[in-house]
Amino acid sequence: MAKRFGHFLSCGEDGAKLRFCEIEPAIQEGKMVILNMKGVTNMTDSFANACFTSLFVHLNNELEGKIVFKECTPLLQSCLRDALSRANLLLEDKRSDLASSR
Amino acid sequence: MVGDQNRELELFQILEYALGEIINNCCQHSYGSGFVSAQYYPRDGFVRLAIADNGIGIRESFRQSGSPHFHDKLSDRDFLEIAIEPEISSKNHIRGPYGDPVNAGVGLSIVEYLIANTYGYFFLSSGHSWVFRDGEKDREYGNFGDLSFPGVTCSLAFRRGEAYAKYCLIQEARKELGLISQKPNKQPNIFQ
Repeated sequence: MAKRFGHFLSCGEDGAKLRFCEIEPAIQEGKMVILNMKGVTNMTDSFANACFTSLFVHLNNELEGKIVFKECTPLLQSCLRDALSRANLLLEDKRSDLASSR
Repeated sequence: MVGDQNRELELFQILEYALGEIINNCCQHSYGSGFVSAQYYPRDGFVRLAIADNGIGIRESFRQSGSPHFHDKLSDRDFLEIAIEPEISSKNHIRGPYGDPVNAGVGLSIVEYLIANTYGYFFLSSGHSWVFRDGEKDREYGNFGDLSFPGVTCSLAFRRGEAYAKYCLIQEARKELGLISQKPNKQPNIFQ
């Protein structure tokens, strides 16, 4: 990731492209995606939301065997945990919308 | 010494985060050129960042993207207020290939929160209007009168001493703004 995007994952559009053009198709083919975060030291919410939160929502937060993050700093781990937490919240909203529309 | 370096690093990461989010907005919405300046004032301890663009401005961005938040009667001032609200962006109605929004519209809200909670100054202007916030005080809005700046200007003044070792404020902002759950939740193990 650092070789590709630098130490700071900043641009939301880059995040969306990575998700839609590479991560999601690989997961759909049944592959396990391993993202090596070595050298990445910071991430915006724009990148996290465009790439990871929306991916986690689409996968219903069932991520085991599908995606793994290697060599994350504690700061990046907390950003990714927040992305998971946000995905949980969005999934809860989706479920309650669905329930109220029934 | 190591502790100082870590605190310095966290200050740098907060500034980097804030700059990254505002530059993202400029790249994504302005359709113009952007300008960035930064200065550190050792005497009063302020780190000042300014990002300006000569693009279409906030109101026009909502209009051109066909945002459901756009109404003819709303002024530049109204759109400044709307743009700072969490989860509102001129483009978060635009859906990706799987039907989900590609823009969450949270960057500006988190940056304003960071500034407020480190007792800095936040200034944003577009078109005829501006909004200013001094630390945790309420926002002040104003107009340039007959003058206007068609693009967007954002100025952030961080107090170095307050923003030291405060990266946790970003997480706090996500909680306070309702972007993540307040309670800890069970999460899959995604780290190796």
